[in-house]
Amino acid sequence: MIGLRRALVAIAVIGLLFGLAEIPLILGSDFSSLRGLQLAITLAAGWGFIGTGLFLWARRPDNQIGPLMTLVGFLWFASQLSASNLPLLFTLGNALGSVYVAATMQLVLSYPSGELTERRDRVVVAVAYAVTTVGLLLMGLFLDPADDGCPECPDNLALVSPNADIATVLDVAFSVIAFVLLVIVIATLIRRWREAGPGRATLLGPVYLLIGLLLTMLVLTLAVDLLGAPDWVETAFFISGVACFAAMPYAFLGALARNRMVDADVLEAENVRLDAELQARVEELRASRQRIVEAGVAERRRIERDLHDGAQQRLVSLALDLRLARGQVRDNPDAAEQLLDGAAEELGRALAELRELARGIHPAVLSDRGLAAALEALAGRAPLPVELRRSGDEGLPEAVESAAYFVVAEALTNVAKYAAATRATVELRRENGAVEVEVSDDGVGGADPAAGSGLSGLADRVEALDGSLDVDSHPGKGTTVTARIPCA
Amino acid sequence: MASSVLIVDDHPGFRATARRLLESEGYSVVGEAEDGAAALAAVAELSPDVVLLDVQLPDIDGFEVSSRLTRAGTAAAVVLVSSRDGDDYGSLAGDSGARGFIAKSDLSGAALEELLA
Repeated sequence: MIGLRRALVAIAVIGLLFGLAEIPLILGSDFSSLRGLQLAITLAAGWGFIGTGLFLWARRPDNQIGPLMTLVGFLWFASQLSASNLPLLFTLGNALGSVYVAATMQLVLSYPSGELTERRDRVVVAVAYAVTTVGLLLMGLFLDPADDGCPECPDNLALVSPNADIATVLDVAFSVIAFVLLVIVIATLIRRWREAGPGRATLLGPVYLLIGLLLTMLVLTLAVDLLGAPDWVETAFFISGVACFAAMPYAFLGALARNRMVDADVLEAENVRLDAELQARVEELRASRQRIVEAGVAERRRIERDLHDGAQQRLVSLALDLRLARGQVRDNPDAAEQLLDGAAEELGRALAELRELARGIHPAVLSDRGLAAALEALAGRAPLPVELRRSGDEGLPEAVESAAYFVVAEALTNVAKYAAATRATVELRRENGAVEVEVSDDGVGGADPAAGSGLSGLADRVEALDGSLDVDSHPGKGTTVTARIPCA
Repeated sequence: MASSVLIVDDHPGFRATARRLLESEGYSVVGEAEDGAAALAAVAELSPDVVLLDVQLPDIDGFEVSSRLTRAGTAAAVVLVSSRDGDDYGSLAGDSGARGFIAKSDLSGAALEELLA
């Protein structure tokens, strides 16, 4: 930080010296008109940009606006070298004479963040730099100042082949390009102004107002130049434009003065946004929690119904059969034996149903032997070939194992019921702090996750662990169910 | 002793077992029905002495069937049965006009006779 301050102080001193050097250069110019006004505007704009730029640079070192403003100030001073009577400085001043315009475009397009976020902005700025550097250097090769209405001007040292026609063509071409760029910039600024919220508008207001005036003056200057209006009109527009330019740094300062307030607005807007996000998340969690509770109730109802319709009915029949058999033992032992055989079969079926039901509540193999064995058991029971690929499935939390198991169980049940698939693949992998379970098949696809409660119940189960469930199912292209569950 | 019985239950396994049991104990099973609507029609058609009526039926429940039979002034004695415990239903059986309730696992000629006595 101290290093930065020292550097900024050094830049400030250099800027001061640059400005001081402009005084004899402009006042002593043999060919410049309105020297006093020119000097005043030169110093006000140059020192204004450098001073304000350094101030912003120091306050917000991570924002590019400060350095950019400082650069504009120095480029502006450089452009004034064209007032020099010395051929070298004169030539240099003319070559660099318009780069500050490109830098200013970059400044206004990147204000207030300092970044050119839109691609179109970057193109505009790149073209502007190209024209004001390469373009003007090119023009300098052909432009003799004497032909350009300035017989008192010093020699153009870059002049290779004096050719007024080429110089004029280039001048017109660059003016047209500059005109188009300025119109694009104005349109961009107007769009941003209209899209800005109240807080941002406060930040943009003073700067945009002055930029608007400045650009209008520049466009008018270019327009009268292209249309060939009298010199005094062009000069009047030019001076007005330059005066706006000189006032620009103070507009940045004005906006800065209101910056704290704007920061507060921005912060408030951010708070409102975060609050809305939080509310949405709370609503989502509330809905998910309700679905989980409802799913729990529905699940208990299902279990009660399964018990009632299944094992309980069989056990009732068993009890009645046993009672019947007892009545037959003495008088009709064959019938009793038949009844007892039937009872034993009924008991076997009741046990099988109870086992199936218990497995649906929580598979014993999962608690006893872990996820790998439970998945293998699922794959083995499926009515179609299932390829199982797994890695990193050791030491998972019980809740994650259970969710992964039921995702595979439900997905394989769906494959068997609806997919008309010839094979399925179950893949379980652990990467980037999450467990990913994927069940895919080569069936008919077209599954609708919203249609059944099974997948939605699974999604809730997975989301309760902060995970997510995706179903990718296009007609004719099979179905892939993927659950991703965070797991440190 | 009441002798003709209509068995109403949506589980064919129970209907078959109950038929065997009751017939072995001297009852005559005159018909079977698998839901409430069929039960109402069968009572009207067969006029059984006893209707052995499951509580849980696919269309209307056994209590409602019993109420309708009572309102219709049927002479049949309605006995509700369920694989659930009778206490689960409180006074619903009595309120519906049924003669009583027997848990399915306790069903026997003797239990029926005791209730109808």
